[in-house]
Amino acid sequence: MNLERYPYLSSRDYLDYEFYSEGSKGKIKKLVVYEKINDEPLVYNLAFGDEDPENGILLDNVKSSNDDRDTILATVAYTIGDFSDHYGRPMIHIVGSTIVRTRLYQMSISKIYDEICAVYTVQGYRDGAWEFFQKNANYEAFVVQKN
Amino acid sequence: MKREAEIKPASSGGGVVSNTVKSHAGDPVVIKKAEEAKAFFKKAGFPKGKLSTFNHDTRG
Repeated sequence: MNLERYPYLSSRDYLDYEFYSEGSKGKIKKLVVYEKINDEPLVYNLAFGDEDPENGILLDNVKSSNDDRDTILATVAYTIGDFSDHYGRPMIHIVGSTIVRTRLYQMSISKIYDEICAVYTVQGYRDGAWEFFQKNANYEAFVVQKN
Repeated sequence: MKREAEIKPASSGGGVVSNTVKSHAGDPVVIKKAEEAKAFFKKAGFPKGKLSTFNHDTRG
């Protein structure tokens, strides 16, 4: 996988990551957090968003519009690799905070799918069933797993 | 839910480990998203897993 990405930092337990988006609106601190939600099968939820500059907590409803969505998503994809290598390559659940945001994730995944499919298996949920990711389908949620 | 305690050794990675990165496990958004995800999987079920382990041959 060779995608343009931001440099990022990881916590010592590889569950929390941070990096800076840089664009027309300046530098915006982004957070990626993995939280276990099921043991068998092993599934983690990925929470992603901006850091609240007031109190440092994660916000998932901020539209930063820094014109770098693909670079941000690629950076998140790299954190999935780091995380997966340390936690047994579990399934990782990804969904946007809104339907629109989930759609934007899907568009970004489609753009880089040819790069990421060599490293990750991506499945999407639609019409009541899971299926392997297709570029032109609309999904409610995604599960990514490192191969 | 309790966070994973057992950490496997690194085999690859692009991130730099830093003591400055704090845990966000207790952030309201992280908790809310985890609860929503659990509810979602109760409804949707879990996918079958990786392509490499998925049996596409349905002919029996």
